[in-house]
Amino acid sequence: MTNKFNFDQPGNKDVFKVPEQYFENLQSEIQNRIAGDAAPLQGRRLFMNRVKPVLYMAAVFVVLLFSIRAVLNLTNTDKKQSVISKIDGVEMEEFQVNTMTAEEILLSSLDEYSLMYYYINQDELE
Amino acid sequence: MDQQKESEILALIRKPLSRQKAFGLLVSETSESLYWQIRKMVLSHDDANDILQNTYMKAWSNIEQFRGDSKITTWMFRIAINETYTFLNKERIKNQSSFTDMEDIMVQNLKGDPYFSGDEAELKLQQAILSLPDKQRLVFNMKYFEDMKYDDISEILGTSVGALKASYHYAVKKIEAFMTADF
Repeated sequence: MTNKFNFDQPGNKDVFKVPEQYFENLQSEIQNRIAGDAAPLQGRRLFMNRVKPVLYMAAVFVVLLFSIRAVLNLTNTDKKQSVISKIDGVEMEEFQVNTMTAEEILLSSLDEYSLMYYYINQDELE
Repeated sequence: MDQQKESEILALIRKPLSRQKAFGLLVSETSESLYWQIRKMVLSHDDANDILQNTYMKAWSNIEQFRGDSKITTWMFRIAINETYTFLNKERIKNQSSFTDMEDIMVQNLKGDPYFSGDEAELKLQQAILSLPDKQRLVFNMKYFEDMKYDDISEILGTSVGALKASYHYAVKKIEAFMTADF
């Protein structure tokens, strides 16, 4: 096939058609769509204007709530730490109480009679 | 749209009370050029119509963010191009499982399209254009069919004029090769 087109000249647009009155109708169609779109937009804005102060209040309240919680958490942590250290102290004391020498354990297991017998008859036992 | 008209529309858009009316003016000023840009990329009128409407709805919902760094028409073109690319990518994903390429399907649909009156050669030209990468196709359409200036294309696409000229040149070479090849 040979090329009948000259690309140095503007091309023929007329092969494409549009329905009759298309551009006239398009304008009113777009205007109708815009009018339908404009009302809800204004409505949304009015609603947002009313809701905005409440949203700000809620945001401040949430921030305050978190701040108070954070402060309380900090003080609780101090208390918890002191409780732990107290518990640790008691355990240490108990541990110290429980650590006895072998002699003390031996003596604590003997009753009074046995002890007297031990001291009186020391020569016999040796 | 000339500079003065664009400034007038922009001034009205900035005022909330006149915004809707100004947007109507913007639609009437830009709809044809945007439509043809989209239509040349997707070929089907129904798809072009959907993309164009999405473009305007997106522009409307973001109009307050438009700061005026570029022309409002340039901004509209960019939205339209993005919407077109999104559509084409979605279509490609949809056709991934199919054995037929999306471009072949588009040509087949064009044959039976009541809003296309081209002959075999015009159909083959569309087939050749469809063989180009998306951005090159866009540049080709803007230059060849819309006869846009390279400076304007450069502003919309953010590509240098030199690169655009090279892109158009290579596009023409590819299309000519496609047109003269026998299948």
